[in-house]
Amino acid sequence: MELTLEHRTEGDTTVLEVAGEVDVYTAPKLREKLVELVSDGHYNIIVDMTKVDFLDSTGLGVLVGGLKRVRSHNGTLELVCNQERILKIFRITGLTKVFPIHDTLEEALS
Amino acid sequence: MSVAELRVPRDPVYVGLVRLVVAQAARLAGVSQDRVEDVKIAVAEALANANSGVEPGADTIPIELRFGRSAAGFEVVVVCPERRSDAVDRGADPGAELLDPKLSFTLIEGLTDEFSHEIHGDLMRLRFVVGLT
Repeated sequence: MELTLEHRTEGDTTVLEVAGEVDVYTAPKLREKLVELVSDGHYNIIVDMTKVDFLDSTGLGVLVGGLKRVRSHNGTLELVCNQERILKIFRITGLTKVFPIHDTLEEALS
Repeated sequence: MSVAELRVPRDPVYVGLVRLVVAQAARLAGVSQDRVEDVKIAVAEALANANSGVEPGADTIPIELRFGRSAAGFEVVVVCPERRSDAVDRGADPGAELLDPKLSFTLIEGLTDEFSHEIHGDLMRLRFVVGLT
């Protein structure tokens, strides 16, 4: 399955909707998108992962890289994820302590 | 161990295909659907490591996978050339910065019931087992 990425602005926050599979083949596409957003001045980003079917450590690495980039501009990167199999990956790697993770986009935006 | 074998080029484009093949073999071996998801991630991690440190366009040895039901459960063995640190150092591997082997191995360890990572000469061997119940 392909990876699709769409972004929109909600107030001073940019929502990046990620759908499909994030693995070693597709993760560069996500990284490029995050680099592009930060380069364009989007420093408060919510990555909506509710439509992600698969995520591995290369995807985690890209998200950590994105977090470092926005933090260098005093920005934030938060996640929306409500799928147990994806949340399990964040828990095993300890990244639940690094990323604010919300159940819904509404919660993340509030 | 009733074994299936697969040999694929060291190219990330094959990772999705291999994931599907090994996942279906796990289902046939009697692995529960929840654990099949664990197998898929563990396979993706193993192949991400196997694909790391490859110079683009270089003529490389393929990745070999053996997988099937064993006494321990559903067992997967991945053998590939050891990650080439010189390729990473020279920036010749654009995918290298994506992979944190420590994070990757933590994930495999957390998702499987047995995991080992060994270096034999120029080859890296990753083995993991997921229980059948």
